Amino acid sequence: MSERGQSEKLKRERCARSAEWRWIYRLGSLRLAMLLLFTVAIACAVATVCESKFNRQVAEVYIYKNPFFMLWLLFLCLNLICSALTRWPWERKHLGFVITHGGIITMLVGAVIGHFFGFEASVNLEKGAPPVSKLIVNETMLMVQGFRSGEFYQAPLTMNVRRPTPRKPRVMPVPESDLKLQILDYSEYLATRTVLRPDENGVPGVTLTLNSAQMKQSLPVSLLMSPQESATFDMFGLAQVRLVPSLTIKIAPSKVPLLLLAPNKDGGLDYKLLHEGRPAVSGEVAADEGFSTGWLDWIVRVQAVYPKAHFAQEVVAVENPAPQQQTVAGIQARLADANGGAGTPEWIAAGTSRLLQIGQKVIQVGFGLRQIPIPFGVTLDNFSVPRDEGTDQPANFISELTFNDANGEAKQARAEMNHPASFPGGWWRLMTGLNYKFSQAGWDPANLNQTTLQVLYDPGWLFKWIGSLLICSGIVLMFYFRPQRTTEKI
Amino acid sequence: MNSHFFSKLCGSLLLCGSLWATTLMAKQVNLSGLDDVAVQDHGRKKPFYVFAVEHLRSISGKESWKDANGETWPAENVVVDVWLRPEIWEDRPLVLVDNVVLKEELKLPKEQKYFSYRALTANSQLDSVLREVARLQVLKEKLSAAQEGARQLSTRLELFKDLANGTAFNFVPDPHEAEGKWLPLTLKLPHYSEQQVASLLASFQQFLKNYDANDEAGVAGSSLAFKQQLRSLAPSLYPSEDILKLENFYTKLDPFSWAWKAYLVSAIVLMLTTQLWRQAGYRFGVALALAGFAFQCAGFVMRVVISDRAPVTNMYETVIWLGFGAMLFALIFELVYRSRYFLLGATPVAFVSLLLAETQNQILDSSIHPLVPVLRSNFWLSTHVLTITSSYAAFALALGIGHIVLGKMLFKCPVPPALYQYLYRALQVGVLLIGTGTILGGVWANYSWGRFWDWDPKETWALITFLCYLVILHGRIAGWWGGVGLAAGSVICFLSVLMAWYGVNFVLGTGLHSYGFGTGGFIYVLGFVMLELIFVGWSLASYLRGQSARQA
Repeated sequence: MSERGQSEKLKRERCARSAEWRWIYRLGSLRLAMLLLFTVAIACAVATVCESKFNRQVAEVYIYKNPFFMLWLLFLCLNLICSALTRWPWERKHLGFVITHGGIITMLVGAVIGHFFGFEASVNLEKGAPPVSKLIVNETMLMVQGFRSGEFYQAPLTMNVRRPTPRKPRVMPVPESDLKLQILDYSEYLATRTVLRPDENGVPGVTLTLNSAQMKQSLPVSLLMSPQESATFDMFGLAQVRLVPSLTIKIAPSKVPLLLLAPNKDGGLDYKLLHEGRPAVSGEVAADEGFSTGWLDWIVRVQAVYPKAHFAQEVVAVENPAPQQQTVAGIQARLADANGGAGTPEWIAAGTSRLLQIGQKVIQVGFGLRQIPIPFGVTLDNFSVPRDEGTDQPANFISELTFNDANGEAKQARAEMNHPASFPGGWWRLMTGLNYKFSQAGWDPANLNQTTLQVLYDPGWLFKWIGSLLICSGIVLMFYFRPQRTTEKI
Repeated sequence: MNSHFFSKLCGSLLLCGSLWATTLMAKQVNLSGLDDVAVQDHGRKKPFYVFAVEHLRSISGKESWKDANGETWPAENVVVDVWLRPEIWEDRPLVLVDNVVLKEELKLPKEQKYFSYRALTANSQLDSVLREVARLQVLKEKLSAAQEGARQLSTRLELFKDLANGTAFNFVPDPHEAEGKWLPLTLKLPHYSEQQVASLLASFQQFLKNYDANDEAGVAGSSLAFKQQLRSLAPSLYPSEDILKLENFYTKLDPFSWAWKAYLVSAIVLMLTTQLWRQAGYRFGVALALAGFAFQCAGFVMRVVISDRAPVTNMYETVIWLGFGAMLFALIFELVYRSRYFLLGATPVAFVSLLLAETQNQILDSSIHPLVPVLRSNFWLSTHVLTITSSYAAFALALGIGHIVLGKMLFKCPVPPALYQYLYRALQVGVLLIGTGTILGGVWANYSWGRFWDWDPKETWALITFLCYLVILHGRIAGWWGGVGLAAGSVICFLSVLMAWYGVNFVLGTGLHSYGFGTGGFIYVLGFVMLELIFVGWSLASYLRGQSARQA
């Protein structure tokens, strides 16, 4: 009887004997394996296109880190186990097959262990700063204070997928209360800017924007009558805008063009442009109106005129940030109660928290990246970036580190490209992955006292290692032992 | 101080420049005396000849230039002349603009390929496109085709400018540091005494005088003197004469070009002698393939010696490695089976890959550049990258054999059953290598990036490729298809190799393997994919028609 015929006979006998065998044959079938391999390949291909078209998070949420995808991989694992069982009792010719399939299973087990018990995080170190014992994970989190206890509750919050909009906010309950937290918007570019707030005890003030189509710029300007330095805005040393009590007061001659603004009785502004000390343009303008200055194509647009105001810092979303502008990501959120009432929306920049208010109730809400504590401290002693000869291109990144463990013992280490620093030391920790591996991950060309390291803690490492070796050696054995069936079917 | 001599030199350069300006078409002098002068350029020291060829190729896409009178200028003459008479060269159409969308945006004539530096820098549209590019780059956003073209063009203009103002010619070594910054003659030279500088400049002036006078012998003599002067400034840190000569020899010989010619002839010979003169034809074909292979080996050895690393660090090198690997596997299999089909499958693949590397120099840059930090590990380069690219090569060999099978089916020729076994062998090698290579990649990533596997697009596509080939191999075990399925599968699955290799870097353009990213060639690759799909469909249809006719 042929080899194939024998195994068919065995299959029939076993399936007739027990339901367990029937399931093992069903789950270990080649047909199912093909379906799984094919669908995993298609899903991965779709994910890479998603990542390119949208962003990394979309690919992760819908595929790579989606529970269904994980389940699918586990299913593949089950298929491999069952298909190995169907070959039982194993013979010499099955060696490669069993080793390869065992290797894939071992590796997947390693991945699962790594996923649940390990982490990938990063840490920013600055030369001369105190030891750091907290790592940052690239997962955004929402922190909400419980209404009664005041304790903080944390929940992961991904923003790049199904981005909230004011029309479709994301709503979640505030712990220990019947209040709801509405996340109305998300922006990659939040900037802090100075604004005016009406204030009975304040002084006159004005907010305006200076726009140039040619320069593709729009500068927000807030001026207060006093103190003196807040009454003048300097445009790159080329021109000045100044708020004065009245246009008739005497002004010291200025080398650059000077635009004078004075609040008038109608709630608007009188303006006068002095060019080389002589008036060039003058007129009157109300809030929401604009006028042309005559310097290049700069246009002044008055936003608001306040009879009495003070300066305040405000976080705002910027649509098109200028390249050098400092911005952070953040969310816009507000509280809502069961009666349909809603508080004032506030922007919360990443890494900060704010008090949100509705009626008399105040809740603190924070947004930022998840942090992980580690049982030792790490300091950056030195960071250096050797360059390619005669250029500014980095040739390597070298961080010299000191690890301080709980017993106060210090150990020096060096993390450079392709050579991570590991702590705690010891060969068995290196083999099993039960240590923290610090690899060079990022740097700031403008600040060479600072470095970013990727930190890996992966207790599944040993399984991955062994699995890798098994897979490779198994493939070799399989091709070596498997007889050729060239003419069987063409 | 040096500044006195420096101004004197500039004066003399200007004087020479104006003299030349009046005699527009100077006869070209042989500048080969400068060949072995070392220049520090783009992060490494290279011979002047290579410097000139690379600059001209980057600026104009060619290695020599033809003027309006039809006279051909070697790269060295163009580069030296641009430096010494910039005002003339600024008006000559030297700068390549090959991006059609960009030309439209800049309102440049579409049919024209070369433009003058002056015309391009005066183009206000280009200026505004480049400002937008700078803004997008800061925000790390993707560039459109025209913007990408503008970015490339601005690099060409920068290179031209550096030649014209002399700052590219970093001839003068740093005597204190092996990796120190070398300086051009036009700057103050702080490391040397007044006397040393004076004598260096004097020897260069002598060269200028001879060059101006078209004095062939004088130029050769003064080049030699200038070269010796430079070497004597830092004898211990100056690159060895041998390595400079080797790099020039490598560039001038162009071994990969000889290799594809040999492969082409070998493929033709093997194809024409399948019926007639079988034995002699086979021997001759193998000899030619071996000759081409020897050239390719020599090329790789020289490249490794020059660059001091495994030759698989960018798209150019991996394209060449694909041809090399396919030939290597084919020759080994020929040694075992003596069948001619391995070589028939491999020679066209190797020929096409080497030809692409030679002709598409704006997409596949053949210059040797310093590596990004993460790639600076010869251990991992020669394990992970060599294994992965060798797996691509084995799959390319399978692609070649798959084409032979499908071609025979298309023309209703009988397919020798052994061909299917050969195909299976090539696929086996490929699957083993891609499995091993992907895992090695994980181990390397665990080291350098701090994680084993994170679904980076390059990793993911390596996995997809692996899975695709597993599907066709398992389908055969299940008896769903036989050799014909393997042949069609080896062609279709190669498209996933193309995606993992070219697509991730040039089409998707995201992920951590960003050091390999580039642009261009998308239309050609898409065309290739389409043609392959049509070919497979057609031959399968022809095969199935034949089957049903036989059954009927």
